[in-house]
Amino acid sequence: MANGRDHQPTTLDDLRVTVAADATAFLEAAPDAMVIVRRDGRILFANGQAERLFGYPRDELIGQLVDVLVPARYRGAHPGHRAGFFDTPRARPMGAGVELYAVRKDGTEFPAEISLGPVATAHGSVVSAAIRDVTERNRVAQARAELAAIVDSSDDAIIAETLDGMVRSWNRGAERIFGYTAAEMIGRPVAALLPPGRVGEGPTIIAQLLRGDRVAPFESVRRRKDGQDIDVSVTISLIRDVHGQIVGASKVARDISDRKRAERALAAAKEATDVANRELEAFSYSVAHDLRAPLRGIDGFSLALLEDCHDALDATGQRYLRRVRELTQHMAQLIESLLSLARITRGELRHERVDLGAAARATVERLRTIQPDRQVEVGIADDLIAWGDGRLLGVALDNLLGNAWKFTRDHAAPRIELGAGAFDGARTYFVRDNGAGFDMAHAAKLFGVFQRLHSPDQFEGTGIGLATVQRIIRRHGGRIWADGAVGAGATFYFTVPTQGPPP
Amino acid sequence: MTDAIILLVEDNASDEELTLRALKRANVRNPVVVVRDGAAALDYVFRRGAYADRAPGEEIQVVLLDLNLPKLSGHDVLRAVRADERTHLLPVVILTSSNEDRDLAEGYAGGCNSYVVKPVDFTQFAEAVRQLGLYWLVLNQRPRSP
Repeated sequence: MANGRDHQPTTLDDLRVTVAADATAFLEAAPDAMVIVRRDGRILFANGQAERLFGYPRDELIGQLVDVLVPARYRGAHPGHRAGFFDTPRARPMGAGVELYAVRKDGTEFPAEISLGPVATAHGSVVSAAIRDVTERNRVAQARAELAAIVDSSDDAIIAETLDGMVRSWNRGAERIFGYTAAEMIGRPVAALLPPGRVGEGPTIIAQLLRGDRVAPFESVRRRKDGQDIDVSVTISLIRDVHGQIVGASKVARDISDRKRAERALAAAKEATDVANRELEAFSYSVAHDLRAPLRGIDGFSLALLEDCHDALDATGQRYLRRVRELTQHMAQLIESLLSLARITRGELRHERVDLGAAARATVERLRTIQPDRQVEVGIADDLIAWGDGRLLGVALDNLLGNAWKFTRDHAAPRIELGAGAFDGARTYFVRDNGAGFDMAHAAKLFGVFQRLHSPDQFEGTGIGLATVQRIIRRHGGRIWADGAVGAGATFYFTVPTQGPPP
Repeated sequence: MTDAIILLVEDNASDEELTLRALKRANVRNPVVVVRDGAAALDYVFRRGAYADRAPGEEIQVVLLDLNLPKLSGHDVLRAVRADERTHLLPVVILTSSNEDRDLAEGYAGGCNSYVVKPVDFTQFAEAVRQLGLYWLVLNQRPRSP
């Protein structure tokens, strides 16, 4: 065979002789490491694979006890096992389920599969042993077992299917989510999970994937074994074999019923809120329209009376009518304030950089224009930047500064200050005045609707301003509180976000 | 010009009386026709129903239109007037208590010529009516009717 004369016709007998003569060459060519061992454990033969596997030169192996190839911890028992085998020899093939360890010359161990073949010779029985290093095979098996464990421990259903839609694998998550066992589903069409009306969904997506389109995870509905439909999020991808050939598809399905239920509950709650807001809006609208109309009538006829029937009224009668008109105007202001309070509660909150200092300067400018005879010293700190709804924060400052302006009216040297500082670690803005102040015993009432700490004779007002301010600050997630004393001024503190979300 | 009619669409009797008084005190001599709801307003404008016999010479100079009306709202009336070829240029002034943004927006989108909020203070109200009369009956020039 190896002598280059293969082309010459040979008889079967010739070939037999050749094979017998070259037996050693066959052992040499075997894919596994091979040693032949005598009854006393001496190695009679070792092939080149054995040299390489164990790291011994062949002449060191020949004549050596085979026990040196067994790790030291098993070595003591080995002669006994060996003797037992020679007493009742029977062939033990590879893969007989026995995993052993072998040791190299350098002392390193490796898992080995060993097959034994007893051979009777004219000079007594010998055993041929083939040794295979199974380190790599074990590693692959371990990795596969780990992957299988991961797949099996997943809460998601992980399913493999053939291109024609037959289930090939079915993990425990799939059993739990869909109610079918692996035994019930493997080999069956995966379409069993599709509710009527969605039957085309799977094939359509697989067709898309085969065309090379990207398919994002999508939400759908699947039917459980018990007939109940559940919301799922599905990811489908193709499975290729080692040659890159597409052989099927994997589906990962997540049970999102809880999330969907929560979403539906949230949507229902939002709808209820929207309905309530629309009702509030309708209410505000009718307040605006229906309450103003009679007031206009009262005012209009009072004026008509004053003008048309002037001579029939004495001074007292005329004064009464003027009071009627004043009170009408006051009520109109109350309605207007209530409406603006309602407007602040609804509507989208904007998020923008707000220069409170600039807004305050504009407010003070307006106050000075309206009452040019007032001499008020106003101090506004630098760098009062907040983050929120500029219009609403402007309304809040209008109210706070307007109050400070109003309540310093009787002071000889009125002063208003807008500043900021850190209170309890949070940046806090404040509006301080040296005006009439208030009794801290009534501080809780300051922010209530229609709550006033002064009579209209002392200071005019609707009792809605601070309620409005509080609502604006709260809508910004901030806090407002006040500090003051009768005759010693008041300070209103508030917090609002100082910066927007990080970009 | 004396036949140039002011059509006041107003369901509130007090507002009607006070508006009429304010127009009179502003020396507006034009006849004022008052209707109490949106449907009647359209009947008058389009000479139908109770107003089928309105004389051809009686032309409307300006409509003063409240928004919150029985039957058809002021917005509905305005839309119907603008949609009709015969009246799509008729001056319509919304005169209302509402200063809600959406009413303003809808009013202007519907094609009103002015939007006037009735103030509660009657002195201001009277002044607004006086200026309206002056502007729409005296100063404003309209294209001739076809």
